[in-house]
Amino acid sequence: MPVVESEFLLALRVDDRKHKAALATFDKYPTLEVCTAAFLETAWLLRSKGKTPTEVSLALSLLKSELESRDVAEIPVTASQIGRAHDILTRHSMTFFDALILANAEESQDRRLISSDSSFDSTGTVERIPLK
Amino acid sequence: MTAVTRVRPRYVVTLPRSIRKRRNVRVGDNVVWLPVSDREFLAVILPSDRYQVLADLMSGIELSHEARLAAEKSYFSSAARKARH
Repeated sequence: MPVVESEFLLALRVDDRKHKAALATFDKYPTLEVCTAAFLETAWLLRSKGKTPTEVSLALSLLKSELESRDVAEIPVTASQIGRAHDILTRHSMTFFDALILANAEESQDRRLISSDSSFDSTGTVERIPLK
Repeated sequence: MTAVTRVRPRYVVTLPRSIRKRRNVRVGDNVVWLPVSDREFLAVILPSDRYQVLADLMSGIELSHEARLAAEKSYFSSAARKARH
């Protein structure tokens, strides 16, 4: 089952330009997974823009609830994925959060990641499906 | 404004009328329970349209490479500040 990342979480906003694509993704892929690191990155995207901890908690709670209602499983980050993320960072240019998400997708069943961010292509270890 | 409600079978709790009227709560609205302490939760009532609520809560957030870098920098600098104190 494909893995979704932070871009997908933000696309659940009704006014996001990829909102329709996100809803279509729910229909196209009945089973999806989301890495915990996507929630972590989203939280810090919000905090870095001045959102309060309460606003962040509310947003994450609603995102989690919506994903659960769509049977999207949250896949926790493992110790081996953290190690792999550091390995990725030494060889490729991406953020630590993205390296964690990539390491998580590498261990998913079919190694597919739904994202428009081409930096995930750098390792060549997962098939990237653009969100569109 | 305080009110006490009893937990009924299947753990159903009715929102007190005073809160329903004050917040104009509708069937289908979301109640988010945020932990405050071991015994306390903050119940936040939000409209039923989750996608609109998410748009309101996450307004102004762009997902560019620069934004991702800034978020990461914010995360690690915050952790470093906490560690120093």
